[in-house]
Amino acid sequence: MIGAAVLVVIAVVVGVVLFAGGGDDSSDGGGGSTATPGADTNVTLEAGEVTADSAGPPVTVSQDIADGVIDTIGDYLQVATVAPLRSGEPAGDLAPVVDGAALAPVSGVDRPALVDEGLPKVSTDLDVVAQPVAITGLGDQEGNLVALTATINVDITAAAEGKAKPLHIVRTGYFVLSPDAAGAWKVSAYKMGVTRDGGTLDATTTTAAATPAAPK
Amino acid sequence: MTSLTSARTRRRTLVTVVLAPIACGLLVAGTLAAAWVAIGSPTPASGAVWFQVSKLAGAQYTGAPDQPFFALVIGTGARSDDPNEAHDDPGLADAIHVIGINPSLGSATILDIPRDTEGPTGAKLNSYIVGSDKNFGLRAEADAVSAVTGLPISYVIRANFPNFVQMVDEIGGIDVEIPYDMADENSGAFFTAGPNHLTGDQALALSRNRYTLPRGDLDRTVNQGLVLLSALKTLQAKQPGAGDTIRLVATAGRHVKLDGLGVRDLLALGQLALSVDANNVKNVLLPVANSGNGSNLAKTADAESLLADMADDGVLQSH
Repeated sequence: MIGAAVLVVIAVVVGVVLFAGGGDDSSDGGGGSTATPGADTNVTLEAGEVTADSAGPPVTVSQDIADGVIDTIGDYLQVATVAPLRSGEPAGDLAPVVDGAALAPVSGVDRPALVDEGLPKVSTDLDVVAQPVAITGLGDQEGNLVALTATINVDITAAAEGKAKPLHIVRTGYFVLSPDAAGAWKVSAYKMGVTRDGGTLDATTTTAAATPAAPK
Repeated sequence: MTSLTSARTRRRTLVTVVLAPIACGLLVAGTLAAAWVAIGSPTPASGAVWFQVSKLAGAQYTGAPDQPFFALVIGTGARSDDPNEAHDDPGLADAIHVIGINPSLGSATILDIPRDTEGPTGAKLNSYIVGSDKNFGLRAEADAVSAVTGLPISYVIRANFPNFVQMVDEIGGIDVEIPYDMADENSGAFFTAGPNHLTGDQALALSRNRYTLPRGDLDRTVNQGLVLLSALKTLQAKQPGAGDTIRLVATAGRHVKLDGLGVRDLLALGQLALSVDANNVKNVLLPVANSGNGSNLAKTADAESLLADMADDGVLQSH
């Protein structure tokens, strides 16, 4: 066994409040939801098991790095899921969380698998619940932490509006994250599948994508 | 003594011909991670070098990770991982395969090149790797293969044989759909056509058998490609998860000599392998015929259109 296994559990529960058509964001940072007069948006995200393996000397994934990974995934969920569902508008800029090489497919052919846009605006309660994110670090032959994977298993539900069935989105896969030049951990590759049904969708849709990952 | 030497030489040769498919199956195919899931952590000899991966100077993919590229996979009989350190053990490249990979299509093609194919200087293609001056070595071998095929080689994967059988066994063997019955005393290849689960020794036997095959070494070369593709299918069937992939890339990283690329690139290769549909990978022999120069072979007219088909996007469509 290479590398010390570190179990880190970080509860990062962000309650974001968005009124239909825009609104005010807030975070309680302590879990649970934030009630608002219009609707609640509850994002539950936490780190699960954090481990590492190495081609050289042992490496570990520090708590700071694990926290950073969770922050990155949280930002991704906000930009890719929460904001477009709340606004009914296209998702915003993913460049802060996705690195240059992966940004092109994320912005192009793989976008339907990674971004919940093009769907009707959700004005009821919205729950974004991620299973604990398993993080596995990879060390190179010199013992430098050069990449890590983070599992993504997110269940998204929106309360029914009118006669429509509740919107239900399940996204499953993983991100590969690597440090950029500034040391920020960004998504450099991914394998992701998404299933959407309910809401105003006529039928269940399933989309999958994986980065073409030729080495640089 | 003679018998012992002969046996050793024969075994070395045998191992040689199977190395490329397996090395490629385990690296370019990359899905070692699956085996980890299936059988637990392999425990190869500490420090053993399974294979070498070299990135050639011309390989540039930054900003275009979806572009097709070509990797040369060679198997040699050298005992050392550095052919220049084994002049008495030349390590001819007796297994030669070019793998074209198209990431955006999720597809690949394995081009099996007979070892006796004539290179640009008139020598057999298997000989350009041998020697220590600038006209030999991995770069020269890649250049020679490129000259014959017209395919730009970006990566060279050279397998080191001593741990081959162990390596195959440690990943739990491979499932191969053997195309016809085989019964060959020389190689030990005794198989019934159909699905077979092969141990390391059996995979070696399949890959070395040529005496009982209609086209001899040509069919053997194709069977090496079959082993490669079967390794990919076997490992993909295990459906490794993200963490499994990391752990197996780390394992591979402890047993690979890297030249011009890093462990992070290995991870990318592994992910790429997982994204390739093994059922959409063609395994094709380079069409060749006698060249008129001794036992050398030369590509035929049919080869030109095949190579053009492969060159445009890394994979074959009309062949």
